[in-house]
Amino acid sequence: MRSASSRPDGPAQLEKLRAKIRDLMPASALTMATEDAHAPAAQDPALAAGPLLEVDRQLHLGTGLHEFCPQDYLDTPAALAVQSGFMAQALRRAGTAPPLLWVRARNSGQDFGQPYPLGLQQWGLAPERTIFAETDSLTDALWAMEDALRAGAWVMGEAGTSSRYDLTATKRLHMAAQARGGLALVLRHHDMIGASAALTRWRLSARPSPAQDWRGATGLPGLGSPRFRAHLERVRGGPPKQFDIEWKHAAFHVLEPAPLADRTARPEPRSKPARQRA
Amino acid sequence: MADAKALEPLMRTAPAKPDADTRLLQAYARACGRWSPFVAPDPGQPGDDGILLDITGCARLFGGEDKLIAAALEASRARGLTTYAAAAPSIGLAWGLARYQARQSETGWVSADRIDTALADMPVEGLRIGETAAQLRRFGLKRAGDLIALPRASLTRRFGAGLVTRLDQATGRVEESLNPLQPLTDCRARLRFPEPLLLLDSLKQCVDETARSLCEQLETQGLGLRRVELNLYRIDGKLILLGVGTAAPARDPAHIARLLYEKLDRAEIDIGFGIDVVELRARETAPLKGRQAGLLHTGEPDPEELDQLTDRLVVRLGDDQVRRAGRRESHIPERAAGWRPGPSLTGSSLSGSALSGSALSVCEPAQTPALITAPAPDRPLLILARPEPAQAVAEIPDGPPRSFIWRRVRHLVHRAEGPERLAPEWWRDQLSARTRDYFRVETREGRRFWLYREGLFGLETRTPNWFVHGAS
Repeated sequence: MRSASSRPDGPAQLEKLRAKIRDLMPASALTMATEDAHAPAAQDPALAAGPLLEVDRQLHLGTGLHEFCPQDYLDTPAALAVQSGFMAQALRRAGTAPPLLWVRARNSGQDFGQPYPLGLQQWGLAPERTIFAETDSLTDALWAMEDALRAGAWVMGEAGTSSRYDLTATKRLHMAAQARGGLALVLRHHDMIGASAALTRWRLSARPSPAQDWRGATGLPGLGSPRFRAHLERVRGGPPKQFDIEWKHAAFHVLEPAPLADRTARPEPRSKPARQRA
Repeated sequence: MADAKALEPLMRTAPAKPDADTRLLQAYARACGRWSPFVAPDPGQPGDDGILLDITGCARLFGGEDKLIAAALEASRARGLTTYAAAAPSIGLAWGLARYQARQSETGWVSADRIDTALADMPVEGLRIGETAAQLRRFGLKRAGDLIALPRASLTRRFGAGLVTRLDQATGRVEESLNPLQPLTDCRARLRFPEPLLLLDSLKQCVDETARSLCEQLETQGLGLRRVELNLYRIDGKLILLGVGTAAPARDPAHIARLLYEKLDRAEIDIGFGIDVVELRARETAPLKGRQAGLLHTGEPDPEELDQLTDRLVVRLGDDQVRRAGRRESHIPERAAGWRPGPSLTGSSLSGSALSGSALSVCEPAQTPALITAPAPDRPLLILARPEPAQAVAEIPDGPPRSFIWRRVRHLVHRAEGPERLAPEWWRDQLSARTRDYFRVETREGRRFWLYREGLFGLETRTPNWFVHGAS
C-alpha cells in the first residue's frame, strides 16, 4: 500500500530524499562533493548573472551560445584558438567533465585544416574527451550540435558561410545549451554576419606575441605566449568592449594596459562599437 | 566420513556442486557437437553423468564406429575426464553398455545382430530401472539376458510396466528418441502480416514493437545490443537489410527504435508491393548490467545518454564521420595523431566519474589520462590534411623562413622557433621521403603557422621545398 501511495510523486519523493541526505551529510563532505562537481554552470549564481564575467583579470563565458568571428580570413586559426581556449577555461571552471563535440561542416569556406589532437591539448582541451564529427552539410552540423547539447555534451562548432545558420538556428542552439547548462561556441565566417540569438559575439585577430629574450631560430626571436585582440562586438545587456588577451598558463589573461612596445600597424576592427546597443 | 578419514587420513573432501556439474555437462555436450549434430546431456546419478550422441551416418566421416568411439574417448580423456563409451543400435543398450560393460572391457560398437549377446552379459542395472534392479537381484535375475527368456506378463505383474518398456527400449523393439541440444540462437523478434505493409509509418510501428520484444528477450539474458539488424522481407521475395551499431551495449527499446527510424528515413528503401515480414535480429551482443542512478545530482551527463548521442551521430552522419582522437607511435605528425572512428566514449577507462576530478589543462601533464603519455611537443591547433606547398625565402642551409607565400598571400616572419628535425621512417617503404625541418613561425601580424622544409640542403637536395602544414 505504501508503495502504491508513493508512486505518483516518485520524482518529488526522490528530490525530498536528496535534500534530506544533503542535510544529514557532514558539512565537510558536502563541500567536497560540491567542489568535486562544482555545481553545473546553470546553478552558479555568478555565472548565471551575465553572459560574460571578468574575474581575476580572466574572461569567462556564461552558459549558452557564443559566437566567434575572425577579423580577417587569415585570422581564422587565431579565432579558433581563442575559441578553444575559452572552451578549456569554461570546462575547467565547470569542474564536471562533459565531453566535447567538435563539429565541422565540409566546404565551410574556412579551410585551415582539422583540429590536431596534440594541438588541442596545448589549448587546454582533452583530446580523449573530444568527439570530432565532419558533416556534409550545415543542416547536419546544426542537428549534431543541438543533439549533443541536449545530451549534455558541450559543443565547438564551425558554421562556415552557409545561410542556414540564422536566427532560428541560433535560438535553438542557445536554448539547448541553456537547458543543460552547457556551452556552445561557434565560429562564423568573417563576413557572414546575420541576426543571431547568441549571448556574445567576438571579433578576433591575432596580435604579435612578446619577443622572447632568447633567439628562436637563427637570427629571429622566439615565440612568446600567443596574444589576441578580442573585440566584444555584441553582448546582451552590456556595452561592446575590447580586450587584449594573452593565453598563458592555460588561461586567458587580460592585458592591462595595452602593451605599447613592439607595436605594429593594424587596422582597427571594421565595425565601430555601437554604444546604444543594449 | 569419520570412518573414511580413519582409514585414509590424507583423503581430501570437497562439497558437491550439482549446479556446476550440470553446467559442465552441458558445456561438454556442446563441445561434442564435433562428433555429431545430435547431442544431448544425460544426467544420471551424481557422479555418473553421460552424454548421448546420435552418430547415425556420422561414423563414416571418422572411419567407422570403432574409430569414432576411440577418437571421442581420447579427446575427452585428454581433457582430464574419466570416460567410457559404447555404441549400440538403441539408446537403452548403449546407456547400459557404456556404464556397466565398458569399464571392464572396451565393448566398442555393438551391431544390430549382436544385441542379444550384449544384453546377455549386461547387469540388470544397465536397463535404467533404478530401484527395481535391487528387487530383480533378490530373485536371482542378475543379467538383462535372463529377463528376455521370462514371460512378459508375469514381469509386468510383479515389477510394473516400466521394466518391460525399458527392456524393449534396450532391445530396440520400442523407438526412443533423443532430445538434442538446440544450437545457440541469437535473439530475434519478428512480425508477420497477412497483408503486406506499404507505408513507412506502419513499418516504424513494427520496429517499435519488435524492438520492445527484442529488448525484453535481452533483458532476461542480461545482454545489451552492440549491433542490430532489421530485415524487411518484401512480398516478392527480396530482402531489405538495415544494420545499426551502438557505441556501448544498449537495451533501451526507444533508443534502438530511434536509430532504426533514422536509418529507415535515410535509406530510401524501395517497399515495392509491400513487406510482409519484419524481423529484428541481434547480430552482436555484450553483457549489460543494470546501472544504479546516483542519489545526488552531480550535474554530470549520464554516460548512457552520451553513448546514445554517439549512436545517433553515427547513424545520421555516417560510420566514419564521427571520430575520436587516436595516437600512434610515430614522429611524423600526420601519423602520430589523428581522428579515427572509435569505440564508446564512456568505455572502461574514460567513465565520467573517473575523470571528473582530473584537470583539463596542459599545466598538469601528470593528471592527463593515458592517451598522451610523453610530454607533447609544441603543435599547432589546426593541421592541414595534406601539406600545401609554399614559396619561402630562407637562409641556407637550415635557417627559418624570413617570408613565405602561401595561398597567394605573402607573410613576413617576425618570430620563429626551430628547426625541429624529423627524419623519415626508413622502415616504411617510402624511399622518396625526406627529412623535414619544422618551424613554428609568427608573422608580423601575429598569425602563427607551422611550416617545414623538405630535404636537407646539400645532402638530400639542392632545392628544398617548403610546405605549410598547420596554423595557430
